[in-house]
Amino acid sequence: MDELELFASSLPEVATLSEEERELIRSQVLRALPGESGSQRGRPRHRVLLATAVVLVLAASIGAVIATRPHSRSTDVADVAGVGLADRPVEPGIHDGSSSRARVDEGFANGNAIAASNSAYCGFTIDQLRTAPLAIDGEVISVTADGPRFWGSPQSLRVRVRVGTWLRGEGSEPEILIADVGELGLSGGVVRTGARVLAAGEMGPDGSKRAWACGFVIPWTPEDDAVWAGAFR
Amino acid sequence: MSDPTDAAVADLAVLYEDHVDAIHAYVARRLGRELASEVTAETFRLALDRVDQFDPDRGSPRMWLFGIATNLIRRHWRTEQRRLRAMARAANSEDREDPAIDPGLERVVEQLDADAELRAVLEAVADLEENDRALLVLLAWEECSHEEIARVLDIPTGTVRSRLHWIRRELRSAMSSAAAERPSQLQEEGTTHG
Repeated sequence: MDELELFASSLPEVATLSEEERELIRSQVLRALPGESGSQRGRPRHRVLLATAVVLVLAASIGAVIATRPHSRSTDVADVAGVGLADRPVEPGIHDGSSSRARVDEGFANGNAIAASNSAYCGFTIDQLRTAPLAIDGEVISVTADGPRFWGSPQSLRVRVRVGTWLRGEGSEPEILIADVGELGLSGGVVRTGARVLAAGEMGPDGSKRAWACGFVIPWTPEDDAVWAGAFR
Repeated sequence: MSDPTDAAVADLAVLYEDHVDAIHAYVARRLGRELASEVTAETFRLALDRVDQFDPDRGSPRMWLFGIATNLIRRHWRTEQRRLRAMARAANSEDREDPAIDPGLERVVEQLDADAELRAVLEAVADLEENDRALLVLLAWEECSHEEIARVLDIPTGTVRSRLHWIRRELRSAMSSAAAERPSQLQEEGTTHG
């Protein structure tokens, strides 16, 4: 057995998704649709369209199950179809980033990246934030695109910050790396000289400080500052 | 960031039904079931956001979704590393074989060697750089082609081949080291218990 076959033999077994798990994931996707968090970007039509499309597929699947089972599951179908999307509350752990988005609209020329990093699609959760081994509040003093390759990026941004507060971790080296990941999109905008940012991440295998891109590098606002301070308390 | 169009949202529903199981299994294999649902949901959220960027000429929707999931998995590289090390510790034939069957001494020695090699390989994989680890997993566990891996990792196919060459050399080296250590261990065990 060669090295590839040996590694392939370690393939972990994963049980098939249960109907409950599929429903849970589906609801998490739906929750993130524009308008779901009550932000300025309310777009209930899309939410309903996706809900309808997914529910139709699910209902069809369940219908097929009903056809092959002795007991009717019409109640189950009604439960699925009756998900109260408009009334669904925002999950307490998910920060909708509305304050930062407002800041984007007001002051940043290249706001797309910021909106992406703070939108419900790519928002940080308090629970995720709490797991970050590294977090700072600081001012960007330089940005250069000469960082090493990691996270699938041909290069990462090398960002030097004047750290005002180490929210978690510490160090004398005021440099963080941010992968300019294509899928997550983070270039310009938040990370520009003079910007005050909140950044969270971890130490890379080479000892570099790596900020998590999507939703974890955001412009400083008093509201987000309070949220982050709470997460790292 | 533009809002998703109606067509994009409808497309996502189809993507979801077709690929949610595969994406969830991929994430669960790499990070464990606890994180799999969250990362899978995030994958589809990002897919909705970027569905207009999907280019069918560059690969299948499945590979595109794998690419998004792979980027998200990178956030949890320590979790994956811990998981691989735990798998290495658990690589023990005694857990896998029926104790009622006496396999014979030669078979036992062979199995112990194989276990040691597997442990060494898993440890070596845990130490790989994130992209290399993703490349290997996509190849060996997900059975992706070089072209598909190139699409997922957004790197040239030639780079996939060259990185794979380097990765295999690392794994072979780990296996050789494990094999070199085995005779002395057996001898030591024989002296102690024999």
